[in-house]
Amino acid sequence: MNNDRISKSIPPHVHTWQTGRKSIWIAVLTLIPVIAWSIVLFGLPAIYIWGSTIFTALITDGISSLVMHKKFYVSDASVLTGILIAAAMPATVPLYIPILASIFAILVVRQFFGGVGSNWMNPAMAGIAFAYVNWPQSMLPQLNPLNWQLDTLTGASPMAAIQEGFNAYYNTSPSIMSGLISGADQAVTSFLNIWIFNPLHAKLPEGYVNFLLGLNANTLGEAGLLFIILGSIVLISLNLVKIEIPAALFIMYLVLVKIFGLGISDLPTVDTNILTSLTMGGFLLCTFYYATDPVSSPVTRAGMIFYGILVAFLFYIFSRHRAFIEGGAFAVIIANIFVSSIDKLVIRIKILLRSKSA
Amino acid sequence: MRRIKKFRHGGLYQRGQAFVGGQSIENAYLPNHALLIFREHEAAGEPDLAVNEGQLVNEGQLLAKATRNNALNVHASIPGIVRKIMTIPSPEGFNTRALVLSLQGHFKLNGAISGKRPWQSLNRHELSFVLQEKGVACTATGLGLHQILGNAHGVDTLIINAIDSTNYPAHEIVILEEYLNEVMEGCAIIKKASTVQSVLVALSGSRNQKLEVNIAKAAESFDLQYRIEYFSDKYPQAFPHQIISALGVNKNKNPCLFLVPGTLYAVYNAVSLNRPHIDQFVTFGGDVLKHHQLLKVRIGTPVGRLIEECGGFIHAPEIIALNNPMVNGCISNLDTPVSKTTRSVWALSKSATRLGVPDNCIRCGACIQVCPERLDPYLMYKLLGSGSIEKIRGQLDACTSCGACSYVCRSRIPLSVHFKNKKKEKLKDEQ
Ligand code: SF4
Ligand code: SF4
Repeated sequence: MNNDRISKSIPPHVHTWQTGRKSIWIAVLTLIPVIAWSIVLFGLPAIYIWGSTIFTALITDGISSLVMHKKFYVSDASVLTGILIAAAMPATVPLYIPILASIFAILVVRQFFGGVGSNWMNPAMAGIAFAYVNWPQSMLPQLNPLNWQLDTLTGASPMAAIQEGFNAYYNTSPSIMSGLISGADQAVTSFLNIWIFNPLHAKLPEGYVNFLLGLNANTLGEAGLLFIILGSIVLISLNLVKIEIPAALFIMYLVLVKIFGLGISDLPTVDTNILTSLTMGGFLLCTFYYATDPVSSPVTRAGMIFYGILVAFLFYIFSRHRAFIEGGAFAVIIANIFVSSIDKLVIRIKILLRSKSA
Repeated sequence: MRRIKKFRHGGLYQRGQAFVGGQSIENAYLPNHALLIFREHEAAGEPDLAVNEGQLVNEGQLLAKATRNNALNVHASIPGIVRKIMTIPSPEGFNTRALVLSLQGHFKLNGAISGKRPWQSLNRHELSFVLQEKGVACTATGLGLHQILGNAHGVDTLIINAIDSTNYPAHEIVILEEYLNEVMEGCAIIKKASTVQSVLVALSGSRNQKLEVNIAKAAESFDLQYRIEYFSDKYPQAFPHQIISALGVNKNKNPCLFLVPGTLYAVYNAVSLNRPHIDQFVTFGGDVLKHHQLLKVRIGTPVGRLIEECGGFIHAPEIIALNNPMVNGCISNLDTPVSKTTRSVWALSKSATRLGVPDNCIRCGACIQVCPERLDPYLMYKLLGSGSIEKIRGQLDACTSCGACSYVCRSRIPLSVHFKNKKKEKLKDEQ
């Protein structure tokens, strides 16, 4: 059916403006500020990583389609795949890792499964997981590689406690951690507190601005948290993502965090803090960019909600046990395995319900 | 405030590319040549020719007589000479015989109303016979009206469908407003010619107080029981299926008859004025047409001529679509004539059509969410491709070919057309 008669005379003669290609390019556009910001923060290494993954993804796609289908064709989706792989890389990663991860993603996961639209596993996520499994040491996060040591730890802030949790986990020296709450953060937070939160009788704890601006980011993608939030608003308002997935994921994850805590600190107030949980571990990137890839997620609405909940569970488990800092990639590919069963089940139930009501 | 009724599941809003509406209806110039087609839809039978090439015919004279099932009488829309009889492709893709008339002679019917026929004294069969004789077709489906009435056993409600649910409106509301008395008389005739008890006027949009008052007056003068309901403009609300669903009635218990104002006007003409179905209301619109207009046109007039009358194109259109651009065909030839089912002509640019090359399905799920029948177009398409249609037989039967799924498809797959073709194949197999 792919050799559809390409004819103008087939109705409908009018269409929505959204197309698969446009969705991809808009998603890429929303990620460009993330790229730019990470380059500001990490400098040349970031440029190399972004460039290498995108370039490798495109080249692999082109060559493999030339070999396999005797036609040189580069899918737009490869650009997005490349960007998403790079987003999960720490700035200090040796370049061969992102390159091999991109080749794996495009060649093995996308092309061998039949090209765009047929791959049941999210290629970008598979690439990231591939990197984590093979080179776990190199993929270890470099907490605060910038070492913007502008301030010493202020013990009262919840972020400080989180940092202690991090420290205990990664066994990193406290001296590197102390830069986490930067002067910039303090300045912005106190400004917001005076002008916005105090009049509302609230107080923004210090540390979040750091997270938003990626001043203590583990990966390139996390560095642009603020821009990821803006980008997801754009994607949702343009109706380009399956909104059911992030919605279910979000709610489920928050419920889990509220009930069981993040497991990174003994302080209950910090442990179940919603803002903290959202700013950590690439959660937002996972929610809006990883989990919503149309090809490898369910097509039915009920299926999407179920999938979102499943990813939230897996993400929570991975992040709680700190198995991998990028628990999102693993959560998504494991959930991918169940997608076709979820779809089949939902459609079967739908058919059953319809035959009953008819 | 009355509740606006709408069907529950799926559907889509197409606001934003609005068409300039609400203007008055104007008579189009008479054509020098008229091309009259013999079949209005694919399943229609061919009528038998009643004239010869070279013969001089009067306006309204019978040109082809329906002897078979599903066939419709064809009348001369202009006085003139029968030039040629030929076979042409219709915009919907099937071939039909057609007849070319060249304008000559006098207008007999034009303007000179020779008094009204006292139809009140006719019985059901006589009225149905008049409708058949005058070749009145349902302008929405192309079926003969006498046939529709013949099949409408036990219907008790006539629904006047003036709902606009696309941004390419069906213009029926304008006809209803301008020819309200004629349309209501048409309702009274249908009531007499069938088992219809009451009339439901289905409108869309915001409340129209003036129209409501006028409808009340007209209904009173024809002694009609009526009710007005407002419906949403969610596509495809204008489909009978969705109207029933929005009303929440059981269609087996209360069968309804759906007619558009344009058809009712033709009924009035045929029965009351003894005038065959030779006029048609056609809306001309679209973003590359200079002036949008609603014209009263003689059937057989070439579309190109009428487009000239609307000031022509601003620039070359990407496509000229007919009727509902979500479902119906398009014309590639400006000589294509107006037929009994031509209700609108849309000259659309590339930015309005957003046509694209079909691509692989990306599993976005948009088609499933939009389907008003709660079907799974994604799955249906996939299984059609692999040839296993057993599982989706029920779904194919339930599909109304509304085109909502193809409209939203992110990969521009013409899903609804695949389903329609498969259904057609199936029907052929079963016969
Ligand atoms: S064409 Fe058929 S499958 Fe597609 S939206 Fe309409 S009813 Fe559903
Ligand atoms: S709308 Fe088109 S691309 Fe999306 S799931 Fe349906 S068929 Fe596939």
